[in-house]
Amino acid sequence: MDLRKLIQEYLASAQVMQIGTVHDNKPWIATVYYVADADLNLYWISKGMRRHSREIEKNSRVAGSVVVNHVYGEKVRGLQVEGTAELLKGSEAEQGINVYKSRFWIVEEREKALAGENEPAYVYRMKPERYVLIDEVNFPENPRQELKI
Amino acid sequence: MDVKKLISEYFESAQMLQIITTNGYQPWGATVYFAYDQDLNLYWISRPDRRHSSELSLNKKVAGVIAKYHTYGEKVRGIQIEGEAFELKNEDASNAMEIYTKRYSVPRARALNLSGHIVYKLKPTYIVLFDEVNFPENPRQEYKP
Repeated sequence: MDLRKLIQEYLASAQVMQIGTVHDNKPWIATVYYVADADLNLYWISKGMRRHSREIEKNSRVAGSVVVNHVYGEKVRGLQVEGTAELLKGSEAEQGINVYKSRFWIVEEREKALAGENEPAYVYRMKPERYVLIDEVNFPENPRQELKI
Repeated sequence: MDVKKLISEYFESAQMLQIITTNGYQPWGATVYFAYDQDLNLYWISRPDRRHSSELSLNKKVAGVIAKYHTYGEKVRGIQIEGEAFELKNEDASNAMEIYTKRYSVPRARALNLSGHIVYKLKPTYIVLFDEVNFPENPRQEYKP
């Protein structure tokens, strides 16, 4: 089975990711809508003043979780990812916003925030180093599958 | 509106908790099924050899999210938690398993499924309820247990 393809399909089947950051040995977690590109990079938009955004500025190491809804007893599928995240600027930010718009629309208020008004928002990119797919459906004997990027 | 009550109702309506642990610099995420008590402590069971479990044995600081499935554009509701998580033993573990097995209607032995799972407790120090449904003007509501 093609693990990379399964991860791409899984990323396409969900919209929400939990992003974990760390500052001063203390973890924090936030939820964002994300878009993946063909290289399995992940993009999201957040306000710069949010705690996860501030922590990424100080420490770019992040972890992500993408989990579609399960109820107890169902076969589990979920994705963990670790890597680095950064705020995109200039042409990279424009590209990131275009990737984001390929999946989601951006409301007027958010457009204004991206232009720096009110509480400014930015596009972020996570470059993964390692994905862990837990997949009891496709890999019942060995559900933990790792992909190094 | 009673924020603690809303948090408790939200806990009741969800089953999955995402946790983030750290070795000090690199965060790591994991997903667990949780149960909770009236003081808003959360309980789950995990194998001790999992990365989140081994990180917790070295650093109790943890963050959690309980996020129900949304699609883009919907009003958002979710919970963020900060606190400490640790392994329970003896009577504490037994009491927690009572709560856990009651919630999921599973026999205790099956919940622990004979592969060495142990019981963890997350004691929150800070909870953020993000709730655009009940607090449209100010969706970020903070609660300190």
